[in-house]
Amino acid sequence: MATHRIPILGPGTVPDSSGDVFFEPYSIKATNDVWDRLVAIFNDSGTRIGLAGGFTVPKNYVGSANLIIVWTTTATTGDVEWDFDYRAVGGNDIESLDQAGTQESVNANDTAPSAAHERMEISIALTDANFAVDDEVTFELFRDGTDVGDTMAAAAIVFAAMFEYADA
Amino acid sequence: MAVLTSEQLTELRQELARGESVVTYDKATINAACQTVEDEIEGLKATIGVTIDTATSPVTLSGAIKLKLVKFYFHQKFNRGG
Repeated sequence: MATHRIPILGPGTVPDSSGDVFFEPYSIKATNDVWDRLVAIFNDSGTRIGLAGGFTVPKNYVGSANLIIVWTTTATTGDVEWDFDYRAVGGNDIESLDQAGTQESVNANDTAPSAAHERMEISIALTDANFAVDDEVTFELFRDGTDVGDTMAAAAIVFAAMFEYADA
Repeated sequence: MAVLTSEQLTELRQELARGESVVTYDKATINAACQTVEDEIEGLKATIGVTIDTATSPVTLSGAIKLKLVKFYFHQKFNRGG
């Protein structure tokens, strides 16, 4: 059995309309300005702000599903509250892709790095039985600034969000 | 004393963080600092009108002029390295 990670922030990823979630080059927040790739910024907004997207469950999916978020920040104190809402839709002419409500909502709290810009990784467990091979998963990844646990007074900088799973 | 709204506090925190390469304070800390600034400036507004009147006597400047004067003073002081 092997563990795999697939990136889920693909071409269908879109920020909400708040203006507090957006993509920008990492050099805007970075100090050294060498690595200029796009990152997703989740501002300290005091509100629940999200990035919507989707991915397909791979052919070799068996279980051990987790959401992995790789992030950093300029803050060295405070916590960030991550929420993940999703629905997995499968089959051919069986299930609607336009369903109201989520299949599962998970959340986790993570603490700012000990030094600005250090790589942070958080794993959030997902319900294995909710996923099946070839399912189209639609999701929204939130920073929940309304949660009392979100105390970080700086933007969260997301480098990657990944679906982690095990094969047979 | 006026209490800053959550939206006002969020705007202040965002502006502060935007200019900092490292943010060493959390929301509660900086919110307390912002509210203190608000309290102090509101207190100043209450007294500076009288103080200006004393300095400019017998001329009395309008409230609008006094407010503009204070705004432009802070702009000069903090935006132009004064």
